[in-house]
Amino acid sequence: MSEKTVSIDIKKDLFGANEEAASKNAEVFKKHGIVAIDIMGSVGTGKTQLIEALCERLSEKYPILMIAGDLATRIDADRVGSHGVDTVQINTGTACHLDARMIRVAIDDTDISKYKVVFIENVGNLICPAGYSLGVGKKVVVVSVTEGPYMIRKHPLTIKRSDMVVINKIDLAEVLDFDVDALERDIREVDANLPVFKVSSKIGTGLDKLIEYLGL
Amino acid sequence: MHEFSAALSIVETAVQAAKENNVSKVKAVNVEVGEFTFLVPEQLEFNFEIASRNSVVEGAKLQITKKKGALKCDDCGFEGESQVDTDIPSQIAVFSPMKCPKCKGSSTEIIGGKEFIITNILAEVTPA
Repeated sequence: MSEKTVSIDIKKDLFGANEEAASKNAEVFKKHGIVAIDIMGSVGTGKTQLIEALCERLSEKYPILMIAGDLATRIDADRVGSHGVDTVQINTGTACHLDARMIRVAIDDTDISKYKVVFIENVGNLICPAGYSLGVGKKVVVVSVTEGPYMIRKHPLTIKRSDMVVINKIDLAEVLDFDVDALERDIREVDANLPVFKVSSKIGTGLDKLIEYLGL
Repeated sequence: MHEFSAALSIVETAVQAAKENNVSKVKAVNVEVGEFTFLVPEQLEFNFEIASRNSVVEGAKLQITKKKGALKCDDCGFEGESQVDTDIPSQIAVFSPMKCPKCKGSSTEIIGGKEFIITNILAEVTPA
């Protein structure tokens, strides 16, 4: 039997499965009139604290579900849960980001029709989460003044592929001698039109504007 | 680091195609990776080697074609390939592929370069 080498055409989009799952999630959110927000950022930028601050201000007004993504533990879900909102913890094991199928499972595990707002806290990582759509209305990147001045320069593509940026912990800028305006200029270098919010989740600065922008 | 799961998706797709086509050995796998994905070709190659072990794809060469990014500029209306301006100081060069090649502004939207596609495999088939 003689063997021959041939070319076999495939032409398959390998991000396709995730994109498809993301569209299905988007349909579910739309059907129930849910505002869904994906919150991304490095470890320690204050993503959880931001969600806690938002929940404190919004939990009386809307039924909220928080979906937390972490390699291990349910520390974040428990923290946010203490503000009277429902939570689902996704432990990704070793995976560096949430993908649309994980969100699909979380949606299927809950009665999603009960909620009007879904906050998804992505795995602490400023690179990989940006490449995977979850089907949300807005992808928010959280940076903070404690990560040093080069966060934007080092992660321009993540910023470019997001819908808005929150600069968190601005209450610490002065003591850390951190130039928030310079960071904002870097964001403008990446994208002239990206909405930027300067916030302190801890003392509440800037949160009203952010909430207004999110339409909540 | 998500290149391993990306590499696995390449291997799974290639194995499936091999099964459907009576393939005895896959010699090469061709993929296209866009400039604006978060995939690093070198890491993808390394992970492909590991992910393909003990499969019909083991030993195949992963051939990656990098696809240029494309931008649409809201300021000047430019639509086309992104470019790296080599005159820009390295400190801020990271921004340049996302800037408009025509007006240098940053009111740009990424319209291409996010693809990750397996195009075809080269394989030895046993004639039926």
